[in-house]
Amino acid sequence: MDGIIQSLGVIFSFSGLAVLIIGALLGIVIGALPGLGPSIGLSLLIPFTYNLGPELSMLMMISLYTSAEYGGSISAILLSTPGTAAAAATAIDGYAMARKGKANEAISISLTASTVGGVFGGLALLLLAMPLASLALKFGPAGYFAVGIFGLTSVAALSGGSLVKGLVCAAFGLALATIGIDPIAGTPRFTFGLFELYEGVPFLAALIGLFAVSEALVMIENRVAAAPVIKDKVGHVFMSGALWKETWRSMLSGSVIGTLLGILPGVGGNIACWVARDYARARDRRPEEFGHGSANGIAAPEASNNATVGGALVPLLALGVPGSPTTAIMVGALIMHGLHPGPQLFTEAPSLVYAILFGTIIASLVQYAAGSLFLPLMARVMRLPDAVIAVGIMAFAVLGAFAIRNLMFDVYLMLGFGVVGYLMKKLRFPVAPIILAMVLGYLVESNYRTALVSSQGDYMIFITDPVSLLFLVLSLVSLLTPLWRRLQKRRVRQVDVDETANGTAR
Amino acid sequence: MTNQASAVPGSHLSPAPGGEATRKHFWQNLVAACISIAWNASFLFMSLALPAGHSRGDVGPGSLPMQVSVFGLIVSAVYLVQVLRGIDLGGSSDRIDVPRVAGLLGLFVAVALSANWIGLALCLGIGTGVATLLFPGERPFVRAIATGVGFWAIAYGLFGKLLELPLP
Repeated sequence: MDGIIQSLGVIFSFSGLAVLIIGALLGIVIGALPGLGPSIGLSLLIPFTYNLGPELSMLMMISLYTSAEYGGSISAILLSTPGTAAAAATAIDGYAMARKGKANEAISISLTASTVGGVFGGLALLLLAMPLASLALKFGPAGYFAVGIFGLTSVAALSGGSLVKGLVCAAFGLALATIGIDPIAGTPRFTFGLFELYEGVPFLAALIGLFAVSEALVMIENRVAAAPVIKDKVGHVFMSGALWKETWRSMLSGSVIGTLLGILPGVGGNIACWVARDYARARDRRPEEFGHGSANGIAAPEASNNATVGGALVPLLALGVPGSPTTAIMVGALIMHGLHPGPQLFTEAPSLVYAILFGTIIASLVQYAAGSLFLPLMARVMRLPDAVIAVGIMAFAVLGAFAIRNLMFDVYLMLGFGVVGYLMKKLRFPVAPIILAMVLGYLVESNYRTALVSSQGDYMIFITDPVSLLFLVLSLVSLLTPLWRRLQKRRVRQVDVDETANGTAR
Repeated sequence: MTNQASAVPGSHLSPAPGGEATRKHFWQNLVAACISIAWNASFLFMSLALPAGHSRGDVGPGSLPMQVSVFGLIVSAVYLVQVLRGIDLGGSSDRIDVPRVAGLLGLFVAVALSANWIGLALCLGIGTGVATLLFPGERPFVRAIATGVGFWAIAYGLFGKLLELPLP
């Protein structure tokens, strides 16, 4: 009880609220800048938080982490450039909605869904930390492999447009994911002697190239005929009652998916956003609107990526296992303060634990307030001339790609991916499956091989493991559902054609 | 599928509208399918050269790349068959504006290449300023100078100084 009172005292002190607000503002800016995600933001922030003490330091980092997850959606909506990997799914419907002149609506959905997701994730962390962590830790490598496959099939199958093109892209992304040092034996693969590729193809360079640079190239081409740049005014962030009614289910499902996937080590917002979007699309009464500015296409991924923050903190606090790269950086911060994350933290530093537990919820509310105040400033980017936006995308892409590892190689690679992305857009290839396959590639391969080593080469482990079986069945359902729907549509169309033909004959 | 209309004899579905566009899409998709097959075939070839696994039960570093490339070959073959059957899988109906696209891309390649000599921040300032001239609009030179100075300041001040990014 003392720990709870102490932690609330720290959170609601002047310093506590100040670090939460500063963290939120920094997080929104860092999240919105392509290439600079919460991981880079936290890495840069840690040295400056050393003098704050562990409670304030963790509060600032949690606030930055939460707000960066939301901040990524601002540039995703306004520029079709996801600021973070977790906002990639938001870019599809967010940008489409903004292009229809509804940028304000898109951002209000994003901020509200992010807040709802963040609060939900925080509550889950507060109430279910121990039971959920122990459940997730029962997953073996076969289970994780199946989770990866499930995430992969859901996007490859439901990325919109042509299914076969989506699968071609998924295969391309998986192939790219195998480049670099092999995760089990340590053998370099497809690196052609380039040490820059030993750690694999840098994901963010590919992401920035495929999403951002390709968009700038499309924009410069479109200058001749039509201007696709958003000119809508962004002022308020309050969602209408009708939008609440339309999106609350997606927010809730996204929050649950985000929290649960966030708990699984290695599965963060960048996967949860796709799974949540896929689920919302499958449950939506108008799934055809997805990809063309659907409100649920923004609400579900945004709620999920913020809910992963609370979820990712569950294994970190309960067992000292980071659930995401960002929480791994937070482990480093705790160690810097002389603390070791894990169950012993509940007895060693109860006020710190409760500061983290309550801070995750409060940080989401602070993010809403900071986001509301900061939004008109962020949205001014829309009023910039078209030329400035296009070259701005290119300039931030170059800086973002360089910031990943401070290597110019990543800039060249990013520009190369930009050309690939541009040609893919021209040929109507979906870019999302490549990104998802790249994210999931390592998870799929490392667990696939670990599972086989543990079963001494017996492939039955993927069937006998109940978690693996469950997710493999879900993967099949996910892959077959669009095919079944398409067959149904074709059958209906066929019946219509036959009826029309019979009517004409009579 | 973007368009399920088929030219298959006996099909009850009407052929895809826009003959010229469909013809363009056919050639575009045919080239894309061939590139996809070539990519996956070469990836399979390289995967076969990787060593076998050492641990008991380990399938080796070449196993997943091999399976991925076989999967890629299968879906690419299905793609090719769909294209050859006349199914319009979508594509671009407009010509690529090569001078503008290549101009913007070339400028930023030049920025990256010259960054080590005159600094990334300055290169970006010059590059972004010149790139705005590729766009139509009023007072292009004022806009170019303002944009160039603005992005130099962002790169140097925000990234170089504030975020301490070690810019070349």
